[in-house]
Amino acid sequence: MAVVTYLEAIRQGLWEEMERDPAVFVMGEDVGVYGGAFKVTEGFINRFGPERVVDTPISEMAIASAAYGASLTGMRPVGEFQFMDFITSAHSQIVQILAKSNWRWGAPAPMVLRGPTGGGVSGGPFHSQNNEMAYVHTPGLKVICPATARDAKGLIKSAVRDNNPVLFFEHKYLYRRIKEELPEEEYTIPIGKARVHRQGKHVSVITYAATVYVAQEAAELLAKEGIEVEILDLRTLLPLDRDAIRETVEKTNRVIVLHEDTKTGGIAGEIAAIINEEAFDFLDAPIVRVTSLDSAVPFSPPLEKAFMPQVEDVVRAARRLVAY
Amino acid sequence: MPTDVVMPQMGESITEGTLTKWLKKPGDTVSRDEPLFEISTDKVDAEIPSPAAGTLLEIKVQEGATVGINTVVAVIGEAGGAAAPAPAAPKQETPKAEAPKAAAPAPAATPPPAASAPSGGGTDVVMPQMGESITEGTLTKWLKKVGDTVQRDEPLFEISTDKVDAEIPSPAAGTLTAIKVQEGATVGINTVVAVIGGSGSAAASAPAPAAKAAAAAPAATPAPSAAPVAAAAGGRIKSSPLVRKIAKDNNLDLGKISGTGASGRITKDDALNALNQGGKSAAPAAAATSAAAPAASVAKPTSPAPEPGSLVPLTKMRSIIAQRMVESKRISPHVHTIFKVDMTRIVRLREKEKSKYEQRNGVKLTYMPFIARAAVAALRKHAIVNASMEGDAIRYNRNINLGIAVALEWGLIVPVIKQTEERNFLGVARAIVDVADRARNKKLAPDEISGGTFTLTNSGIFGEQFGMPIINQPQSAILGIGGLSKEAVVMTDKEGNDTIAIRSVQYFSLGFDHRVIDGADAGKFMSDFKAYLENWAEDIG
Amino acid sequence: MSTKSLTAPEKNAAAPIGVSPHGIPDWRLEQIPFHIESEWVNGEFGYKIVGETDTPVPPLRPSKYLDKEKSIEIYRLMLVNRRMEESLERMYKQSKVIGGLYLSLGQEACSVASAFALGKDDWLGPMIRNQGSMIVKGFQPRDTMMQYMGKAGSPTRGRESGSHYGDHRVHNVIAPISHLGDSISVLAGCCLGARLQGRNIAALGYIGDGGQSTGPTYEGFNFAAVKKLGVILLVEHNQWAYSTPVEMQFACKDLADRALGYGVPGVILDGTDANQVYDATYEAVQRAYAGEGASFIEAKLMRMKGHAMHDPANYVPAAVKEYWKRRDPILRYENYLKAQGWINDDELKAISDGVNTWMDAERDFAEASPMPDPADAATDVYKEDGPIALKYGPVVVHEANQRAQLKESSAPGHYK
Repeated sequence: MAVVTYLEAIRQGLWEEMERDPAVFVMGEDVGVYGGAFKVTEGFINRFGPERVVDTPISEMAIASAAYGASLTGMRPVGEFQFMDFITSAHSQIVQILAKSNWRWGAPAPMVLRGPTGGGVSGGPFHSQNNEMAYVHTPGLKVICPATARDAKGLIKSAVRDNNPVLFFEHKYLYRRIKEELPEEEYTIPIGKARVHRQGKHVSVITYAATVYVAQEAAELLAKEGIEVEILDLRTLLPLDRDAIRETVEKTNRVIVLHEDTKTGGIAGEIAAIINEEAFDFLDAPIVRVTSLDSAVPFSPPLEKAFMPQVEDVVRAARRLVAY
Repeated sequence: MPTDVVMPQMGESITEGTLTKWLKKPGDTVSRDEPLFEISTDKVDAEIPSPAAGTLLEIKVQEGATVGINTVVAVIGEAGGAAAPAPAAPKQETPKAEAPKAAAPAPAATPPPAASAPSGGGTDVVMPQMGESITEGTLTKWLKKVGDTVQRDEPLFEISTDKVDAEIPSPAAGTLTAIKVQEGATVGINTVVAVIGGSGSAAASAPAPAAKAAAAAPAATPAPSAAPVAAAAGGRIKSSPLVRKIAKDNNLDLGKISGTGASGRITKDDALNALNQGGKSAAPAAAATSAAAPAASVAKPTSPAPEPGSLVPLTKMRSIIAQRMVESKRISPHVHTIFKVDMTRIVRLREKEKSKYEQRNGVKLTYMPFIARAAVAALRKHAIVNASMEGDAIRYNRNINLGIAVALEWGLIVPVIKQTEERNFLGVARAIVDVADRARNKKLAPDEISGGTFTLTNSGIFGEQFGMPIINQPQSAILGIGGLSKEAVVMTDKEGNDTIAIRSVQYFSLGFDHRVIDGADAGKFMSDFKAYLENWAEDIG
Repeated sequence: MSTKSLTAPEKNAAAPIGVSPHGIPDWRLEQIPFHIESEWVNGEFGYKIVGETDTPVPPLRPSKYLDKEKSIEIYRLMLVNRRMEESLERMYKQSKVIGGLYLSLGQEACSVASAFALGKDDWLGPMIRNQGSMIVKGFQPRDTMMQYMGKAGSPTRGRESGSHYGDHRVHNVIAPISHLGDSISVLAGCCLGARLQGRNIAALGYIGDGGQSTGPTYEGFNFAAVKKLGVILLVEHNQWAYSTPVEMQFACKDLADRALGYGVPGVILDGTDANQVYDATYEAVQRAYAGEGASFIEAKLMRMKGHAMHDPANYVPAAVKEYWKRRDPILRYENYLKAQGWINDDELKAISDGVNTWMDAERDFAEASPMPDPADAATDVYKEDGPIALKYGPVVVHEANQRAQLKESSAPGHYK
């Protein structure tokens, strides 16, 4: 079995779902003949035709709400945003229409909106953002941020099969940097379940998406100092796997929450609150947040590096926690 | 059943309305939706239809009155029902607007606590902003205490932020009159952390000198049931939620435990150690492996001394030790070589770094990791010393698995740090503390006391010069660590001039199996070991 | 791009009287003979009328498509629309209605006659005032009443107010949201979903003269036009966006001119004339069924009440109200039915009595209904797992290359 990239894993997942269920179709800007800005749907139009690989005018709001309209007729649309930065152009539709639909009038919206997110590629402030928290704050949505190729494939398949609007944030830094051997047989990964990426006993780093690898590098450095870091990859931000968070806190008693999103209002604050509510008695030190700075994402490499959390930041935080 | 007629809410933000006109009078018969009265609000004027059919029994709000929404303005009874006598109450219903007055603001009767008023003309010392994006910092250590005299620019405290750790100089000369932020606290930038000079009350807040002193003293006095160090810091015992839960679940008195965490905080390990020692004080963790300090726990007898003349059977451990030692002497032809090492450079480095080191890394800076790292470096170069005899062959071991002999109150055990060569200085330091602690707490796993390829044994702690250690089979060599002392040493400079200097020296004795290792190998190994220590150049983390 | 399909032979409602300066057919029997200007009067800034307001009301011309029975049914439904809102207004003043109340006095023809042209499988995307359209699509007056009263038995079980409800199973009505224009692209999606299942359907959406200023209106309708989806955008040009006259809302004379920009047929009509409204919508529905795509209808009419109950609309000059009061859609239609000889006063009274009796019963039902259980506040945020049926049957698998295999992506895409 070939080793495939994170990007290829998503392509495989979508392709398999479209083969399995004719109600699944993709729509978005340049998804047809061109195959999408990042080539996720390359070749799809030849297999499934222009009817199920729908090129749209440039309008994220129309992609989101037309997908929703189609879902009202029982279809399972997958809308692509060229960059998740542009999700803000569909914010009103996602938050007001999609998220509230089942609660408001019992109309389920089995649909996915997916696209590349995150920085580290000098994309500048409009091609690098991590906008997931605006949607984690919106009941009725599900929000997925995979870190590995295996998870990306298994979760996109679960997202397509879910009966709710699912936002699928694909980290563009990982698209072609992460490679993995995937199972031969068909599989899915359940939404709402975190994954222990690395076992450890001294400090837990709770994180998701590209910063899983920042945590991993830090863990390797810290291992040389005898600090064993446990890495919990959340995988799904909404709904959050509270059990997994509690379990790792009970195990290590010390927590760093790491994310590429900015600090204020990032999920680290929410996780700290959950630990405070549900696992306070297991803390041996305060919860530490290691995040991007509270600013927009800068373009120039030295600025972007300073903005994003680095391996050294995690190492320093871990040392401080162990010393606490 | 009578129906209440209420002042409607004509618009979402409307809170009150004026009843401008009654279109019916008490006793009148009305049908549902028949106009009953007129109102006027900020936004609209409207005629209000009756909500029910019946007789207008009572009018509770008179024309011209302004009342809150949902105020009952009238009551409609079932058709033909006797008109209730109108009570005199209605008019009182009107002045609803008075309600808020009852909630008049209380006079500001709470003066700020006197103690927090800092200064009569002193200089505030604030948490600095170390970088544009930094909004807060953690005060990690006070370098002065209240009452101390400080010079301008003299280091006053240490901080740690997201981006940097720094020593902060005093902004003014004078007496440190108040410390307002304790060690370990994280505060926003520009928060006043101390006051220099002025008449600020020195007693305003107790700093934590006691805790600091305890943390800094490297177990010089092995704390016979140490004073409640953590508790001394202003009456509040520094611990954590987990520690408090452990204490509560086990009836543990935290006041009797000395903390090894930052600012004397009691950590989970401290609490567990205390539990394992029957709730007694935990000795500072690294003491036993410190070459410089007497081992606290070894010195402490736990069981009554045996009666003179009594015959006490060997404990399990004693009998294993006896068997192994005899075996080793029988199997291996032991040779010993003694080297004297000038430790002055390392002693100075350690003295300079030790307090900050613990603050930074949570582990005491002892001599052991220096010695272990030097041994690892020499073992890498001289693989034969890390080898072992297997039948008619010599096994050159893939990894360096360093055994550390730990003296227990009930004997001796040698936990092994696997793959020591993969750890840096701090990693080795942590591992030594960890295995020593767990050895004393009987928490070693079986695979942690086997598989060693070379052993360190520290016998110098009681003042001996050096010992002649027995090899831990199937290893081929063991390094005995002798006592550290000061000696007058003849030093020769580059030009060949001799001088006498007072230096810190330490003796190291290598015991080796002559079947495997020849004297030349041992000599080269020890020479490299010595050079590594004397010319110490490694980052200690 | 053909605009001819929204025209029809002369002497009925669908006959063009004229065309807009840009060539859009204008079916109206009269142009509004005045407009509003703003100016200072005695230190106060306000609106004044420029032009005539007392021109005579022309009688309606027959519909090309409506027979006697259908015409009478439209009349009855308009009456239901109005009586329901009159009941609501009284209940509002009796504090039985919670929150705001939005009425459509003067707009009943536009709501009812347009929805009446839809088939059972077609979708409706109402706005806040299209409570009459929802009754045409199968809801009961009690549904809207209980919505406004926050009752447990309301379609949204007390979660939403007013006409913010819908049904995707039987009635095919999108629950509107307060944001203007957002439903248009949803309707486009409904048509897209149906087309994938082998059906060309129509989806009727409303937007106001104010609401059409939003981006979602443009983005949604452009999407429908480009993808040739059967969305019918009915702009209810009711002269006032809350308190803002249309002169401050857009710079063009006729909103229907925008049909040219979208590349779809457009028509201007009189929104107080149920025959014109029906005929235009009917033709647009037929275009949708034929797979010809979207249509644009501008109906000019008047909102006779304020924005909501708190707003007496004092900013509207009295003579303007009088002008439109004489063009009351129900009154005009009653006169039309009588002129056609399709109904007499006794029959009209019988219809009116029937509606009143029904409305009283609906109101009694709504008032007697319980309030919701507080435990129901946050349930159903998510839909549980399980199959969701396709509405129009199996997805049509087209003649794509069934043997094409997924090959590894070749191009680098954006950023390496």
